[in-house]
Amino acid sequence: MKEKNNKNSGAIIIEATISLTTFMFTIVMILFMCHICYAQAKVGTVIDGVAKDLAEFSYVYSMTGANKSQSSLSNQASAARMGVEDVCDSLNDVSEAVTSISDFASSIAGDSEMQSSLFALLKNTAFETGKSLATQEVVYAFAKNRFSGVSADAETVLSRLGIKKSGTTYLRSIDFSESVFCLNGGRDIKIVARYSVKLIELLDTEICFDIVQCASTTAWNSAERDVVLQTEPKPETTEASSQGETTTESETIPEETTTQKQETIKDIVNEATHNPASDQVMLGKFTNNKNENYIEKAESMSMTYFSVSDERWEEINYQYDAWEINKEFLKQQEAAGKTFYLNDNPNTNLTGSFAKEVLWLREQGYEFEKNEVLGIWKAVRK
Amino acid sequence: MNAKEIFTMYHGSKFQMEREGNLREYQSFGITKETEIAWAKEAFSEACNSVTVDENAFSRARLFVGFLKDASLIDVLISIQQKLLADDNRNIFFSVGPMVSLVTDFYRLKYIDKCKTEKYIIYLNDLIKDLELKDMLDKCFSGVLLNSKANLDSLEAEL
Repeated sequence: MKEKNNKNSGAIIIEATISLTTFMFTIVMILFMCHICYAQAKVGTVIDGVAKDLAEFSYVYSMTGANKSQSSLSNQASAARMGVEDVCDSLNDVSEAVTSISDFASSIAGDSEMQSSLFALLKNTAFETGKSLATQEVVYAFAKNRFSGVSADAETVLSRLGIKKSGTTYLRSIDFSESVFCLNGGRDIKIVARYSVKLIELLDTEICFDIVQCASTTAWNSAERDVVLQTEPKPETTEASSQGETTTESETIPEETTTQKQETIKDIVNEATHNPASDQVMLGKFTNNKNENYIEKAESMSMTYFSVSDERWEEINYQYDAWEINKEFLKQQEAAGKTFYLNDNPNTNLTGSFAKEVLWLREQGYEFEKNEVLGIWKAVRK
Repeated sequence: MNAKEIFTMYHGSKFQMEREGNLREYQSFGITKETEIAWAKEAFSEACNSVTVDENAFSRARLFVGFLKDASLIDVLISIQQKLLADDNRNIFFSVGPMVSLVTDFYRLKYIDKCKTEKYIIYLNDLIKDLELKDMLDKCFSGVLLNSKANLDSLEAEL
């Protein structure tokens, strides 16, 4: 009996050794995972914020010379490629609505390193040299502010997160070199962060996880905003990166002046005007109850119609409002004295761009008569 | 609506999806370009098969050719027109406009060269002349041909 008990005691010790080791190993694994997830979430939130900061910054950029409608401010600001402080003062004069942007700009005004990087970035953008050190420097400056907590600076926070120190500082160990700001004159702002998270050292072995995160948004500036506000709010653009955990959104805006913008819109409209020689224009819905759309109808009747090619649309998607281009088309056709037709009932089924077209025609004094033979509605000015 | 229905309804045009507010829904399906091309080819065949009974089918077929960007399909459409003409089918009148649009678009996008475009212009001018002689011409058809001729002249001037 005693012998049997001794045998059991040995088994318990072995079992305890195995289970305790497994338990400890599991706990450590869970802690490691939590640590990585926490670091990833923290960095993700920061680069998301940095992307938003840059989008807001593009407004300050626009105020430095891009917005013709506020030319007095622009001239004042661009006379000597002024300091950010001047722009801030001017912004406050323009509207109280931009106070937050002004506050943001004021906060960076005292930082000479940040300021020089910002202007290097502006210069870089203006000459379309693509991604550069300037972008990276600005991103570092914004990230530094966002990593800093109430009781700890950015370096301490990053150290606690376990970021592997490969550069001169923990912050510089995060590689932002792939980030882009309005590349090639576009609207895209993309913040790409590459970094390694170091796990707790066990048995003198350093285990690191390489992480890539991306936040993307589009720039906004005052010139486009003026036009957009005159039409209607455009849905915010959200784009998730393939690798990314973070996504952000903001409003669209080009750096073009209003005149340049109008010229570009006219070019787009010219490309989008099909069958221009016809003296009849077909408008309407792409889908209606009879399952025939305005393009099919227009082509069958050889009438003028409006349609932007997919290739062109992808190019301009984030820069222009579809209705803005559509309206310019309507203006041009009306100026040419053409007769408007609709492929669907203007009194019902008013959705999408068709609703806007009908409203625009009514505003110009048109009323609609149905042609029973062709099943289309003719716009007649009363 | 499923992805294929949306794609077919808009002839694959993302711009039109955006205008009608369906783009986000379509993009949420994550359809690949290969699948889209397969759908467009299928829809093109269906449209070609119904040109004799549906006056908009030719235009629908032409729009899918526009999506596929395949210049060789212009000849397929021409052969369909020849059949409509031989059968005295009234839908031949509704096929001229889409052909003029297609040739104009393909020339502007450089999918066909100047020489080939001129060849198509000659063909379409001859077709319009033939149709003007048809005794089934009514007011509607003559208006269509008039517009087609004006658009063709505009393309000729562009060349």
